Amino acid sequence: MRLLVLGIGNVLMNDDAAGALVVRSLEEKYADADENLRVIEGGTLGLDLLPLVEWADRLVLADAVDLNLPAGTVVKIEGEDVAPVFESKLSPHQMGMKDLLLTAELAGYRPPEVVLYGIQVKSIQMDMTLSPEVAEGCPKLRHYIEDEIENFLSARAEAE
Amino acid sequence: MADRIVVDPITRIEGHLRIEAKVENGVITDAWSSSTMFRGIEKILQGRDPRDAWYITQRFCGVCTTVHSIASIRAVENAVGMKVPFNAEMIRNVIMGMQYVQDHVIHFYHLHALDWVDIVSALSADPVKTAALQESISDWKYSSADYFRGIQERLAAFAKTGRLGPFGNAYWGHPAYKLPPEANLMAASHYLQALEVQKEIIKVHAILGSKNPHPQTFLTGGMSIPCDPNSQNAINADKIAMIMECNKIAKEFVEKVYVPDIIAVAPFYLDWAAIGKTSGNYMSYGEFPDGREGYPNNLWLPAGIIKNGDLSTVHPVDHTKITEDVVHSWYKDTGPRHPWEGATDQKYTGPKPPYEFLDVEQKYSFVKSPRYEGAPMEVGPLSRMLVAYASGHKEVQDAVNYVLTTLGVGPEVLFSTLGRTAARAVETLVVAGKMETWLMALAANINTGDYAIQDNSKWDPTTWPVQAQGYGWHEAPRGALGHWIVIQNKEIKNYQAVVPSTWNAAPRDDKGVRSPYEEALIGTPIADPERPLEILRTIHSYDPCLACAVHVYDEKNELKSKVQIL
Repeated sequence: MRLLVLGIGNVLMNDDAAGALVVRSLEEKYADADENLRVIEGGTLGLDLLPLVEWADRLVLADAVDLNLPAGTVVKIEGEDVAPVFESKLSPHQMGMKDLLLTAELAGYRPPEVVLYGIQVKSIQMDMTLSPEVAEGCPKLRHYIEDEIENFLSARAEAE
Repeated sequence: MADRIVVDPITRIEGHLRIEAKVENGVITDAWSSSTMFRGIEKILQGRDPRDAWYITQRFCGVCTTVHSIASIRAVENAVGMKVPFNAEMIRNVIMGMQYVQDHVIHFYHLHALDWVDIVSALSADPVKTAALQESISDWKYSSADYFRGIQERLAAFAKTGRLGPFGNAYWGHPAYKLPPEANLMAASHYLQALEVQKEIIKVHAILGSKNPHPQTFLTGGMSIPCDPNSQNAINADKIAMIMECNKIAKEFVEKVYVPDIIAVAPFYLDWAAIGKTSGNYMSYGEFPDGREGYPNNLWLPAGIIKNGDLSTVHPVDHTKITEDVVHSWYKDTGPRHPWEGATDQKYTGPKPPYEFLDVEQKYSFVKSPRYEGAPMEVGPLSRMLVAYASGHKEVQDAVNYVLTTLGVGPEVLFSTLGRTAARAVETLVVAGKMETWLMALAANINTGDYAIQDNSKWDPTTWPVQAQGYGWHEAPRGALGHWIVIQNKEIKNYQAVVPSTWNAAPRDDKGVRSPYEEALIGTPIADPERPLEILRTIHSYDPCLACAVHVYDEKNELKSKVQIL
C-alpha cells in the first residue's frame, strides 16, 4: 500500500495556493517517514505528475475548490465523485487534474483509492497572500491531511 | 447577418483564451483573440531580490516550469554581467532540450492530435489492417494485430463508462475528420505510448533539477547542482548515462512514431497546408549556446526574423525594437512602450459577465500587443525552423527537406496550420538528435577537471551598480520568451515578461493590424458553426497557453450532495 499526498494550486494566486501550501508545510516532516509514503506539493502541473500517480495505491489530494460555501470551509470528496469535481470545474485546476486522473484511468493505473480534501476559496488574484478566511481554514485542512498520513503510518506499523 | 461564434473555456486559471470569429458563407472572415483573465504577474516581483525572481516566475506557467526560470536568471545575468560557466550552459541545454521534446510530444499527442484523430472511429478499425499500416510507416516495436486489438478493447471499455475524460468535449464524427479507422486506431495507440514515453523523458528534470515538478537547481550565474565525478550527489558519469538512456527512449519514439505519424497523416489533411497563414513575419530569439563563449554566442538554433514570408533574408533581432501596445487591452493607455518602461495598470472596461460578445472595436483582452518595429510576429517552432532553414542550418534543412520530399510538396506549405504542426515534429527530431552532443561535451569538460558551475563573482549585490537593467531571452518550446528587469538599489524596480502566447494571441494594435491567431483564422472553412473544430485546429497548432483549455465549455454540474462538509 503506497500513499501519495498531493497538494495542488498556484502559489502565486491567493487562495488558490491553499492546498499546495498546506501540503508543502508537511513535506519536510514526512520526508523520510516511510518509503511507501510521498508528500508532494505539485503546483499546477498536470501530466508531469503521472509517474507519481501511477506509483500510488491511495491518492490524497489537497486543493482549492469553489462550491459556493462560506470561504475557508473544508470539504471531503471521495472515490468516484472526485473526477466529476474536476470535470465540472469546481476546482481551479480542472484541466490539469481532470486530464491527469482520467488519463491515468485510461492508461490503466488510476489509484484504487482517491480522496480530495478541498477548501473553499474567497479570492483568486495574482498575489501571494491568503484571504483571512482561508488562512483560518488551513489548519483544519492540514489536520485532515495529517490524519490521513498518521492513519497510514499506524496501519503500516501494525502490519509489521 | 453574419454569425459570430465564440470559443471560450470560461475557466479561471488555465482557460484564459477566448476566440470570437465572424463566419460568412461557411468561412471565417474576421477574428478576435482575447484573454479574459488578468495576470499581473510582474507586480508581485517589485521590491524583491532579483536572485529570487526565477523561483517565483517558475510558477507563472502551469506546464513548463523551467522556461520562466531560464528567462529570469538570464535577465539578471545580463543586467549585472555574470558569465555562466560551460558546465552550467550544457546542463541548461539538456534541461531545455528535454523540455522541448517532452512538451512537443505531449502537445501533439495529448492536446492537438484529437483535433485530427477521431477516437470513436478507431473502435471500428480492423486490427490486422492497423498492424499493416503501422509496419508500413516504421519498424516500431508495437505493431502486432493483437496489440491493436488490445488497445481497441481498452478504448471500448473506457468509452462504455460514459466518461470519455481526456477524449471528452470533442467533436467525434465531425465531417472534417478524414482519417480511415485504422489510422485513427494507430494514432490512439500512440496517444497511450506517448504517455509512457513522456514519463521517462521527464526523469531528466528530476536528475538535473533535483526535483520535478518545479526543478530547484537554477541559480543566477550558473546552476546549483555540483559537477563531480567522485560524488554520488553530483553530476557524474552515472547520472550522465541515465540521461543518455532517457534520451534514447525519447529519440526512438520521435524517429519511429512522431515523425512517421506526421508523414502518414498529412496526406489526408493537405488542404490544411493552405489554411492558417499569417502575415509572414516570424521571429526567433535563438537558443542553445553551443560553444565555449556562452549565451548568447554561437546559438545552435539561430536568432533572426523573417519578414513577409521571404526566406531569402534573415534579419537580426534587436531587443530595443520591441514594444507593447495596449490600445485594445484592458490597461491604462500608455502608448507603445519598450518592456523596461512597461506598465501593468489594469483597467477593465469590457462588458460585465455573463456577456454574449466582447466589444471588439474597443479594448477586448488582457493580453497586450507586442510588436517588433511596429509589426506583429509569429513565434514558436515554425518560426525557429524557418529562421534556421533560411539561415542554412544543416540539421534543420535536412529534416525539413526530408519531410517535404516525402510528402511531395514545396516549402510554401510551411506557412500554414499543417506547417506549424509539422515544424514542431521536425524540431523535436533535431533537438532529440542533438542532446547527446551536449551531454558528451559536458562529460568531456568535467573529465578535464573543470567542475565550475557558477560565476559567483557578482553574486553579492554590493558588487552591482545602483541602477542596472537587463533582459533574458529563452526560446521556450512554444516560442520566444523574454523577461525584462530593472534593478535599483539591489531590488527589482520593474519586471516585464513578454511570453510566446502574448505574441501569438495578442489583440489588434494601434493601427488595427491583427495578431497571429487572429490573422491565421481568416479564410478558415467552418463546416458546422456549432462545432468549430477548424478553429481549434489552427489555434492548437500554436500550442496556446494552455492548449487543453481551448474547448467549448458547456458543463454545469451540481455536485453538492456528494460533498462532505468537514
